[in-house]
Amino acid sequence: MANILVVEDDRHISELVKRNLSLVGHICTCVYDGLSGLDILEKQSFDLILLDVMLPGVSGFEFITKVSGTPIIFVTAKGNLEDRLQGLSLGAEDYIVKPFEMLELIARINVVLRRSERDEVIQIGDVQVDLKKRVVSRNGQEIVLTPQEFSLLEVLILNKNIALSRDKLLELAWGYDYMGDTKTVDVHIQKLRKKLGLENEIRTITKLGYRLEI
Amino acid sequence: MKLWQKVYLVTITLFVVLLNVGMYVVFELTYQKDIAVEQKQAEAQYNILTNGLIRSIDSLYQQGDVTDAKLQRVISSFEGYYDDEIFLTLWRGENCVYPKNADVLRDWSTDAGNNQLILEGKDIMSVTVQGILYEGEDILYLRYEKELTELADVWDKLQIKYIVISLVFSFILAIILFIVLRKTMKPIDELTQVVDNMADGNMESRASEQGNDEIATLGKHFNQMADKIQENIELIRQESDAKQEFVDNFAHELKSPLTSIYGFAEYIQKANVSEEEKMQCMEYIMAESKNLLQLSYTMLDMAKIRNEEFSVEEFDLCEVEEQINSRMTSICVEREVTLSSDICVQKINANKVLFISLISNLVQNSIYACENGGQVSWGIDEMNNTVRLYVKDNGCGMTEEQLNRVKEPFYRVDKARSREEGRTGLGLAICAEIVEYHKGQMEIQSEMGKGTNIFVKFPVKFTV
Repeated sequence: MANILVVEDDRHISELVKRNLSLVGHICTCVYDGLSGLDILEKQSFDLILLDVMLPGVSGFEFITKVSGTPIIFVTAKGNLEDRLQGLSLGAEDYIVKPFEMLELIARINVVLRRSERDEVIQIGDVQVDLKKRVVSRNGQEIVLTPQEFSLLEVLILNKNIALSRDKLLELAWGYDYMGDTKTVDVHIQKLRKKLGLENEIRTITKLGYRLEI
Repeated sequence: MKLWQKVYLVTITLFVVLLNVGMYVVFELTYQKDIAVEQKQAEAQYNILTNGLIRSIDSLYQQGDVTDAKLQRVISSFEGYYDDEIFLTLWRGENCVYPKNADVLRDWSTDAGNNQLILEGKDIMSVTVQGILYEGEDILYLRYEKELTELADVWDKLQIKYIVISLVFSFILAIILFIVLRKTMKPIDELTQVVDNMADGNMESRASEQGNDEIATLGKHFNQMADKIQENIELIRQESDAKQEFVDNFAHELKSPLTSIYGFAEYIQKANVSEEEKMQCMEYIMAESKNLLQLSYTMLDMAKIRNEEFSVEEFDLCEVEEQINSRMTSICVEREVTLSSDICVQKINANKVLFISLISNLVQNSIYACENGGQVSWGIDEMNNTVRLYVKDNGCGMTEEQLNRVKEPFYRVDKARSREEGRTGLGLAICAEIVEYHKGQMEIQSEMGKGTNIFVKFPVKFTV
């Protein structure tokens, strides 16, 4: 989906971010210090940069001043207000403090990517989903989904290959203030499966929830 | 009530009371003396008078036929001789003869003897002398009375003068005392202000040290105390800052491994991972957990060094040399670093465990700083009776900024590689604790790209 540069000196975290973003379809390039990050930016362009603050060589705050045009999200352990404000005032799109949940990281990345207006049609089996126009079609024939069904489908697509608990799905697709039962999720999933013929792609994960596998 | 007000009131009251009491005593004594003089005069006058009278009355009686009128004439002539201040009263037996028609009762007897002196006060002050004038056919009694109007007048005027003067002086004293007290108390007020300021947290406030009276001395001592307190506060603040920084760093240090552990666990839970990928993630989780464990052990070690009493004993350094070199063999081989050592001192007095920990930490750091083919040498020599430990390498070296921060807990020169290898970033902080425990001094010289030299000097008592 998007080409993302990860500038993070902790190799384990770098690896973790890369694996998770790969699941939802992003392509990650990892570098472990600021200088090589700047080097690679000269040769290649990215849709987004995930940037640590405390980096050997060039710090994240220094790094961001040398980059223009590419949206940047800080991913750092420095969580105090001062650092957040500094990061955001330097032009970062977002500021994520370690330790973070992967879903949170993915959601925030999606927000930033959507802001940069990329229209994309996602293919799931023989189903096409146009996230911008909010149209779903199967073999060229449009399938009518209720807004709630589409929201659920969108959440599954944006977090594809990641298992989402029923609570999480309620929170993401229905919103924090929805007081419904998790059974609602099951009902809607059943409807989606039936309407789109995605019985295999939308998998039930025992004791957890659902996962859209593409 | 304020101190100056107390002093003021007490002084004024004391002054007024003492002045008046003192003056009263002086006045009273002088007055008594004056009265005594008056009495003596009156007595003398009475004697002179009676001498004259007796002669006249004697001749009257010799002529015979003494009538009251004759006596009256004699007395009157004598009384007239003196000025108006004198009053004479004559009794013939019990009858009052003079003044005419006065009929004053003779209320005194002669039992008390002749010439009785009586002083009467109250409204009209007077001296009275009375006694038997003549004893023959009749007994004549004479009372001589002298009014002391002049004396009373003088004393009255004196009293008024005294009251006025005493009031004026009291008033002047009150004003002068007020000014003097305010001036004397001013430094105390100022000092109070300074103390107030300090209580409000303004530690820069200082008392004036001008003059050399007690208050100035107090001010000086107060300032010394304030300096000391400020110094201590600064020290405590620095220490607490360092502690806070340590805690911050520690919290930060926990975040990285926890992020990895949580993240990989979440990944295994939520993603459709292959067996092989799962194993790899598990390995990451275990490695990071191990790092955390290592961190906790190291922190415990640090706490131990700080809080525990270690025995200092004499031990052989050759043994230590062997132990360290063998311990380092594996990383030396791994990194292709040559390690050499040179021990010039046989035995020293120190805690063996800590000393070995110190050397191995420093040597390990040096080895880590070296690229392949690097050289690390360490040794112990003796200079001017002090034992010196040195560790030298030709590794990557440090910039000045890195050098300044290198002793901070959790500071890593090569953060990525250090963490990868499961090091805590506490090595030099521990070394600093150990050196401090042994009252030594650590000096680090480093040049970027050329290498690092570390010298630790121990005090004399470490030599055997």
